[in-house]
Amino acid sequence: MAARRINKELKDLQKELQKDSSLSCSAGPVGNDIFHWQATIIGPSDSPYAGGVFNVTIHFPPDYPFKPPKVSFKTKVYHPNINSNGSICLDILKEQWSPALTISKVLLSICSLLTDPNPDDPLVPDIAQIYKNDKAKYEATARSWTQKYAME
Amino acid sequence: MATQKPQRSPEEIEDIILRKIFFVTLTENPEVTASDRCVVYLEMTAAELLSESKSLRLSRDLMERVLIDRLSGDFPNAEPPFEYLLGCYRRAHEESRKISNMKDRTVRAEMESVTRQAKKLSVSYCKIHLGNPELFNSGNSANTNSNNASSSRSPLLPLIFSEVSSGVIDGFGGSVGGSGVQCPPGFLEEFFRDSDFDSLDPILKGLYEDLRGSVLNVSALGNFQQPLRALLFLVSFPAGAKSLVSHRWWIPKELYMNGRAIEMTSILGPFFHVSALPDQTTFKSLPDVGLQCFAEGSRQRPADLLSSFTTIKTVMNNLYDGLGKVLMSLLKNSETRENVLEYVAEVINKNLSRAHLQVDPLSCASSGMFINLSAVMLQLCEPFLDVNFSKRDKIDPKYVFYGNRLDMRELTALFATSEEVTQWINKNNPVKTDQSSQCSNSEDHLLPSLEATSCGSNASGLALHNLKQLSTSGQKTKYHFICECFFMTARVLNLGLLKAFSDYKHVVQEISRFEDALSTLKAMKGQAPATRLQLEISRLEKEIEQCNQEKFCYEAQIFRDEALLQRALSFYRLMIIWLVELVGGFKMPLPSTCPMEFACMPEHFVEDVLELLIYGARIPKVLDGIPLDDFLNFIIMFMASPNYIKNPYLRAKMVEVLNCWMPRGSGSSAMSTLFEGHQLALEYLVRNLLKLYVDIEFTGSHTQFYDKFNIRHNIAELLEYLWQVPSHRNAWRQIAKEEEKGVYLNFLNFLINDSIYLLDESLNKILELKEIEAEMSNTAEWERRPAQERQERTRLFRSQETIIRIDMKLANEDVSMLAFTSEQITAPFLLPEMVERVASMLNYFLLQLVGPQRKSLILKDPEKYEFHPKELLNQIVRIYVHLARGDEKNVFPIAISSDGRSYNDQLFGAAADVLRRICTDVRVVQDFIELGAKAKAAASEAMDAEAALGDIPDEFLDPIQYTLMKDPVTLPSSSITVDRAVIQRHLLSDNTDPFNRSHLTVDMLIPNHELKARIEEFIRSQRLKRHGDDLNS
Repeated sequence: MAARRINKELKDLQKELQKDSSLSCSAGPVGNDIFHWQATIIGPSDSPYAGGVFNVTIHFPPDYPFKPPKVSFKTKVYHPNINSNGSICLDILKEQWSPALTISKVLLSICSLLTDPNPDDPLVPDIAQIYKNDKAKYEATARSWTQKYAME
Repeated sequence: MATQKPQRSPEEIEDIILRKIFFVTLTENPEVTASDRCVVYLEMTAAELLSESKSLRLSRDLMERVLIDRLSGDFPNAEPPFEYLLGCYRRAHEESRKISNMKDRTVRAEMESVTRQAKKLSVSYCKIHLGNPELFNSGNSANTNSNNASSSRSPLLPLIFSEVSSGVIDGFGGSVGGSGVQCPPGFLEEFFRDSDFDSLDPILKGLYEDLRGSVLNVSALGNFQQPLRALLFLVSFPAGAKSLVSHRWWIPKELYMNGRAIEMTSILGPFFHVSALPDQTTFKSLPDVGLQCFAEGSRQRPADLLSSFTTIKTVMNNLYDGLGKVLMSLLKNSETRENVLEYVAEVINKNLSRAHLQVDPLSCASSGMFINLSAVMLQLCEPFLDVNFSKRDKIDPKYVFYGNRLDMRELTALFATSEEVTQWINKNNPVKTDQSSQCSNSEDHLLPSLEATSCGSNASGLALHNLKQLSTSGQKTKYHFICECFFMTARVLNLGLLKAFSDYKHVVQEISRFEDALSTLKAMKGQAPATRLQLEISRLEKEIEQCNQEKFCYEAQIFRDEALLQRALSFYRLMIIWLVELVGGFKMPLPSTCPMEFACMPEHFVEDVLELLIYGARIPKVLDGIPLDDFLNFIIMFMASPNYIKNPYLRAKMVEVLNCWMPRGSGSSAMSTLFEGHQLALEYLVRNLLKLYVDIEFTGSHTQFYDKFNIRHNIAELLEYLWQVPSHRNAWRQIAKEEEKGVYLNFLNFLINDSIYLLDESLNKILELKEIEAEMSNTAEWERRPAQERQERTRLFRSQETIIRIDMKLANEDVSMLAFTSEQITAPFLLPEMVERVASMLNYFLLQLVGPQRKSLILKDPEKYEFHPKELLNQIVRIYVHLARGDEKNVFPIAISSDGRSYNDQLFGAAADVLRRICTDVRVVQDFIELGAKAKAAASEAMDAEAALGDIPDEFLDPIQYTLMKDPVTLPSSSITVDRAVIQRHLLSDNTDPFNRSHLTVDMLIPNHELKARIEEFIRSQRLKRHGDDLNS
């Protein structure tokens, strides 16, 4: 059943991309496996991640879309809500998931998480602390990581 | 015989005795004064007596005059006043002993009276002297010096010490008590028994200050016992008791007084501070218990460790007993009882922030004080902790709401919100109702109008007004001592014993964190600069050492003291029996609405019970002899009653308790009887566990997603055990029947959700793990990577290992529960909203285990990760077969074939090939192959049907699954139309509209008949068309 839904999402996403090539993210299946996607997110221009290209993997669990997709960063990111394993702390990927959401909306939310971290519910408390107390330092580190890991 | 010696007149005898007692002479006699330099020649007195034409003979009438002259005169080398007066008393005592041998009765009686008076006089002048030290000291330069040296301490103190040490053999008695001073028998008795409170009071107050000072910063291994006995000795006199509680340091009242300041400055505070537990460095006690007893830490010989534990337990119990007796003695006296209650209340009220996660040691009393107070309060409760708790009717719930000594109204309540608590308290306040009946009508009308503007300032003013009334009403109501003692103990235990449990847990966690860090550092040897690494390693080792000492201190004082823990358990048994009475006693079902008295009770009353039970179960012997039935019934009654106990974590904790008690293996027959021999358990245990399993999905906490797994693990273990018990299994099957579309369906839904999540998560993680493993095995390339990167990857590898182990273990448990329950309960699995997801889950895992990519799951050591692929496959196949056997309507094969993801023609064949090798049950293999054939047939049928439909208009497609809707329904708030099976499946996990998150339940769905008709028409026409096409071709 999920296959139909995922195919539909893929089609819609490709349509969107055709319409607007300046979109900040793109996504598609890895090989023939439509339950396993790879996506790229372009670092938002108003964030220290600007200019970076971040790889993200998406795994659709067997009960998708009733359960959220599993999304994680493959590219290293310096961010209070993204840890060194690439796990993302984002409410819509956990308890705030709804079957009405789509991959496209998830990727959009991740983009806005890059612009506006949520230090009150951190996955990496150390970074959250720096973000709260010394924003300049946080931005500098995030920028240098982006340069080092997200610009090939 | 008498005639041989010249007969002395009674006057002569009296003179001799008195001269001996008072060490004075009225006649100059160089011989005497030279041989005994203490004897003072009272020249002036003698001259005066002569001028009054009196004889120079001492008599009882002259006694006081002589004494005053001796004390006020300036005699070189004479003894200082205190020692002198004490000596007088001692000599009087000796003389009176000698007198008892006298033959002449009348003379004997006379002389006894003389010595009696002499004693009395010595004591009373001693009192005068100690009360006004300057009075008799003028000009005596030699003595003022020596007095100054010890002026900070009362000279009575050594006497009291020697008095309380006599006959008691301990490590301190002899050496400290006697700096050579022996107290003459009866002196202190006579000194303190006097009814003249005013003259005694300053002396006593000074003594209390001295005693307080003598135990300041003394640890469990220091000498606190003597001062404690001295304290007990003093309060045993009515004047002593009265003086203690009227001391300005009994409850220091300065503005800045916080919990710590009271502990350090009140008279009893430093006694309560004596402990084996660690305290903040500023307040550190000596000798250092950790260092003295546990310096070797874990390397210590078990026998040494044990003897340290015993020593600490013993001395601490001496402290508890002593302090308990002091308080008891003050409580028995109606004049001082109130002061004791006030003191304890003050200590509680000033330490409320001890309940916080992080306790500030500078503003809060030490853990030591609160553990000691816990132990002492439990001793005070002892009289009403009889087996039947026969005096429990004295415990009045109103105390929590209207008592004015402790403020418990702010505490989180079991069910009511803080606003509800305040509102309810105000409404039922007896004083308010009294007053309003006296109120004039106009005011009566005013009240509701004010309450209506609940947000306005008027309303808050009113609330304040009501609160004031409350406190005045509290003063009027006298609560029974048992009632006060009960609630104070509950509060003290919360801030003390229970807090110490969490402190202990914290220390243990700290140790394991340090040890983790240490092993990582040790593994890095050779990769980082050696000296810095070594420095860091030895720093960590020191930290661990310190933590280990602390841990042992907690164990020694708390966890090794079974009697203390048992007394606490007994107290909490009373607590739950009393709480249950608020809701009508041990019976189910509970009243439909929760009585407000119960709803407003502080939550920690229950939490503490559970916490203690959990700790108790881990320590051998603690639960022995404690009747657990009441606890069990309490848990069964409330664990699935969110309308009584709101906090889901609190209810989850109940399962943790049950889990601790679960009979494991054979030989725990007592526990078996507990679970299997009670009516309430047989009827409600499984039912409520299933209900809690469902409830715990939504805890409202942001960690709910992860929390539920651990809680459900506890439930699952219990359920697995209960399934083995025939009577419980029957109850289970009955519930499945009754609740097929209710709780049971919800339970299965979450069980499947979790199984999918956990198994999927761990199988994916295995792939990631193998990726890193591959990186590492390529030694040459691995070594070329920067050290930091290697460290990071290694850390990731370790954490993935842990996650896989945990998730896999939980997944195995869930799959196994699906397997064993599906053998006897199949109907709910086959419901329309359930069957497809069960099928797709089974297919998904079957594919992982037998499909082409199964080789990528091969691990070197699968057992290490709790991964047992064969067993897992067997379980999954069993579920297939169980469901197929129960599938009367033949819905299962269709569901299997239509999953659209994992199912394919080869899947069952491949599985059967593996199965033949690993499954011993031929019938299962056979049934499984049969099911595969059925699914294959269904698949080709479905394919035909779909092909017949061609392109489907978007409006006929379900917006969530993009499948053709069979039974379209409209969601009331978002107005979006979806397929019924799809939305029902969603609603099993989440009661919201997926499109706008507003509340939604099955009964709110609006059937869209018009659309349904059009879809049916579409299908018909497409089939016809297809049929026509077929005919045409």
